Amino acid sequence: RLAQRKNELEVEIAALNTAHNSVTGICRLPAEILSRVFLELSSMTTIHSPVPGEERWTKLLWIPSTNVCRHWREVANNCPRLWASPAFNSNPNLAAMMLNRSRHAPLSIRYVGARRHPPEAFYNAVTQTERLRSVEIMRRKREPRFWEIISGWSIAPILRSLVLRNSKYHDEDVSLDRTSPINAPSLRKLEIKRCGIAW
Amino acid sequence: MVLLLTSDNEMFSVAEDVIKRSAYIKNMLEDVGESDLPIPLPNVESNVLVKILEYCEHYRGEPLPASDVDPAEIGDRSLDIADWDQKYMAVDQEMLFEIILAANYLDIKSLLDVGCKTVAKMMKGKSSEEIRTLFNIANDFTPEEEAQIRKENAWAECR
Repeated sequence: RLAQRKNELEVEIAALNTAHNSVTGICRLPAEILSRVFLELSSMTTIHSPVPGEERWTKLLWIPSTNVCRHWREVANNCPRLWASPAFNSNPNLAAMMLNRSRHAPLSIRYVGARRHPPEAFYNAVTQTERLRSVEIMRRKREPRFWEIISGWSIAPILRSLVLRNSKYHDEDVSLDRTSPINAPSLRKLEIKRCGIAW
Repeated sequence: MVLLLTSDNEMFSVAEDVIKRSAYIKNMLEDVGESDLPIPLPNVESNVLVKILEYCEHYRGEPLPASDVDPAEIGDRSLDIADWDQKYMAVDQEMLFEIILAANYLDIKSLLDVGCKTVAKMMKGKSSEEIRTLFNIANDFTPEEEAQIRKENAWAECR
């Protein structure tokens, strides 16, 4: 009975704290403005390891700010754009969570293949061609599965930027020759390095 | 001149080119045309409107933003806040949020942008607990929710 009472009190305290939060200054901001604050903060505090081309990790220092209280967490979790650049160079669980929360938002994919294998969420993301906005992939190891997926792309309607680079080898086994071209009407930037292209 | 009536019944007479930084007022003037009637602003108090007009006056003559800022573009834009804007935003929290709410209501995109960046900068580098203290927010998570959150926070920091 004591444990049950303790649980009841915890729920009551949480409810009282929620009520307190509802009248604080910042919680008067509507969800769309709070979302925008999170987006600004994410731009300021997404940190990639410092050596270009040797990137091995990404830290999202803004994540704790989305977990300040229930309301903020709900707002952040319902802001798909906030999660639309999944951190594939970070913890695989985090990448999967971000991809899931990004729902149907346009995706920006950035991955430097320093790990032995990219997380599963990465493969899941690159198959979602209808919502790819930018893709920047620097590979340091051969990854046939990735090239298989790329070869299967047919239409990428909002893709603006596609950068594919092999940094440590010239991959002659992989070619981008295709019987049908990728239809990417929004493409503005295309950069392919050290990848075999059969014209 | 344009007449504005605040929620606390104060009347302001403002030059049209100053207040047209507000897309809300600009559209209203274009729709209604010239009128001697004041435009009611039921969501803006006079002390906040004074602050809003200070901003509009400072940027008088500057080109208006061409279109709405696409939040999807956040991250491609500069994260800096101009010196004048920083000083302008050096107000207590209550006023800061009032300015943001008024900028949103009046549809002053550049001011809303600066307001959101200012709040984001206040949060930058702080833990959840420090942000709670900063904004007087109580932790209303249950122990089970907190356990999940601790896990997610750890994922975000691991290399």
